[in-house]
Amino acid sequence: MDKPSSRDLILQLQAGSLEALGELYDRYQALVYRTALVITNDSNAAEDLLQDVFLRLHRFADRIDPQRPLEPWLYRMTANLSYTWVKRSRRWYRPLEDLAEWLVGGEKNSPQEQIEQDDDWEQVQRAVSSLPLQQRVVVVLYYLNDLSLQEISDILDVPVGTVKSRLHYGRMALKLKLGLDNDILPDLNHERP
Amino acid sequence: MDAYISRSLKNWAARQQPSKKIRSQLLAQAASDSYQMVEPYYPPQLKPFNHTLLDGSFGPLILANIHSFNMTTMSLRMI
Repeated sequence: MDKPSSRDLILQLQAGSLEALGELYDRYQALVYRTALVITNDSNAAEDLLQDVFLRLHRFADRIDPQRPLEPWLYRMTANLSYTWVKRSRRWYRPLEDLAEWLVGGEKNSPQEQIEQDDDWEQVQRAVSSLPLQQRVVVVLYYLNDLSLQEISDILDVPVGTVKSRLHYGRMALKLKLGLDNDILPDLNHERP
Repeated sequence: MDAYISRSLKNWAARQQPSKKIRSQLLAQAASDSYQMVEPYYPPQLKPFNHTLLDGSFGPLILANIHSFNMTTMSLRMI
């Protein structure tokens, strides 16, 4: 038997079906969780945000147009909630983070040891998570979720030029953080359809 | 560089999984929500006399032209 389409599941959700909510969760939880995780760099926060996004999907299901794809709504909600979380947590999280770094400073690995300890994937994730928030969100939507500049513009409700600019500066920062050579950083002149 | 970043980020993210209990927590929370649905937030101007007076697509239209109406109980009843 064919699986119900997302459109059918949203219609069922609008009729109050919790089974439909569970099915939508199974389909889209990875998308929401991973996006939130790279933006917040905090697995507990990403789990809270994951639950929050789907609770909002349930609560405001009647405002969702079943004829349109659900992904942009999920991306928008995930990005907005992650934004809010990072901004709120930064007020008190940073000083604690700095304190913790100072306390363990004596036992910290040298940069070379750290590089050897981490694999490439983690280095890239760390570099992305350390970008300024606005650049980070664009970089995550572009590189992790394969969205086009236009799609990111629609989701974040900012002009395409702003998305390009944030992506450009994000790439420059990543190049520095990852120590990549200039010759593998071509101009960003391609656009996804 | 683009392919390298994209591939590394996706490979890293693919290893990350949320706790299994999130799903059951979500469904339990949603089930209890259905019995105590929260009223959507209305800004104060949409809640005169602490009562939700306007909603839906007509609300902003009427509010944008509110100066055209005499804000008495009688005129509101006429709206």
